[in-house]
Amino acid sequence: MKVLSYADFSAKVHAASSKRRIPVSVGLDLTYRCNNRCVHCYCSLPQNDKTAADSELSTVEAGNLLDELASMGSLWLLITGGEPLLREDFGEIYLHAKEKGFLITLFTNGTLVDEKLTGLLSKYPPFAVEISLYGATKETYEKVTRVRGSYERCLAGIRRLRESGIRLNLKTMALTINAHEITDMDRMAREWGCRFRFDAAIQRRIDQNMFSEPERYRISPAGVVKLDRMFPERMEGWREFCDRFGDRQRGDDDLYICGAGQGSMHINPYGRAMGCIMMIRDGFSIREHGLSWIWEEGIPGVVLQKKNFHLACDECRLGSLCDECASWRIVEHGDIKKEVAYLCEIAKIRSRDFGFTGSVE
Amino acid sequence: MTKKKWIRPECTRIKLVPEEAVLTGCKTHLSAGPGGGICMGYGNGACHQAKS
Amino acid sequence: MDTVPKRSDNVVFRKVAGEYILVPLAGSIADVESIFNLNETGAAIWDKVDGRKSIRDIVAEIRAEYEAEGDQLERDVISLLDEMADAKLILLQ
Repeated sequence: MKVLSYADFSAKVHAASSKRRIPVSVGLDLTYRCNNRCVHCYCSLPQNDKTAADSELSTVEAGNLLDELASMGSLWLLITGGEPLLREDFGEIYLHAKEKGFLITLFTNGTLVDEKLTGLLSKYPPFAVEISLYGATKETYEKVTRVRGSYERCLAGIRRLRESGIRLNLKTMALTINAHEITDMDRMAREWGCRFRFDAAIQRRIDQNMFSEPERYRISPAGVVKLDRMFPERMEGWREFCDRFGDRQRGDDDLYICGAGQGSMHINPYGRAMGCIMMIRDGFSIREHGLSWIWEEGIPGVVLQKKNFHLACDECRLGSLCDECASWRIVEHGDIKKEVAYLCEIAKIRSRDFGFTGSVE
Repeated sequence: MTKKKWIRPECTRIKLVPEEAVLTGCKTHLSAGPGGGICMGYGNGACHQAKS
Repeated sequence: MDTVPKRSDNVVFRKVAGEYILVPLAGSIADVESIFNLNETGAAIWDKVDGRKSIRDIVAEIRAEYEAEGDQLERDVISLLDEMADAKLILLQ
């Protein structure tokens, strides 16, 4: 039998889906509720928030949604939250998605991984499971999660998944309160045979809730780049990246410079579908509009808008190094015309430290 | 009915390797740097997206 | 040629962005760590595998739709069905 590498297959399907505008990759938040109370979370709500729970898609609605996505040509499904395992019907929804042929990635905090779940995942394996590890020590981990005992529960969850032979990767958000343990987390992950990655681009909450205040835990721009430098592979990656994409201006008048809403979309716990998770204010309710209209009309109306205002970033040649985008601006300031200074600073320091010499002004 | 041209039928095996997955829903080719950044599917989830 | 191929209950067929994809559902990690991509003629054959038609029937139906030289088509159909049976995508009974 002929063999094709996964990378080639993925590239082929993504290219075809983007061209034909098929939502081949979909993110689904099953809930924003979480049993952790992470200081940096952009969306979490208390696990006993009944109002939130009552507004979430029902099991039947989620099943119908998965059916519709499958018929639209979606293949990759990210199940996330909040903590998706808080949903009592998680198993039912997961199995429904498997039976529709989705390649499922599950993001979880790991604390609720029990034998019932590993039994399900062993029998019906996901494409990938990713757990966020918030610290290498109990003290740090629980400073982030603000829940006593969560560290042990997370490690137990990781152990159960590993023992069941389920593919698992670990990651973390680099925060002021855990940055000093990133190398230890990296080492732990390697010892467990898991890949590990981290990111420091902490976003503000996507709602007005004060349950967490992510921006308070951002590492300074210089600190972010310092972390990059601590990992040779990461530095090497950045060098290659600069060589490939370095000196490049945004160069067009599109409001959204990404591909969100072209071959992918995100659906929140209440059935609001949008180009990406950050476009919460430009989401459309599937209960009200139906998924088909949203995909054909609603989302394109958002992501294909032209930019009719000027940004200081327009002349910057570090566009390719910078995380900044229209959605970031909205979430950061509630103002799509106001640049995100934090990201700008990181990009400038990266460009200087990584030897990229394009003009930064 | 006009007959279609016969092409040798193929069934190709693709081994699922999540490590080879990339992020594609973002400005990817422009900006998805190795350190994170846009839509790299990391934790707090600037772009809380999975690789596919 | 009288053998009747049947699709495995453990495989989901998906058409995604013009690609024909077979996704194994359950089983040991080794069984489900691959997916399969059919080309157009492969998908046409898969479409006719229904647990009732024999290989002979399938070949006849495919021959009615496609133009091929000599016995090439028949050999190709049998060869593909064998490969798919080896991969447990279909059962030959």
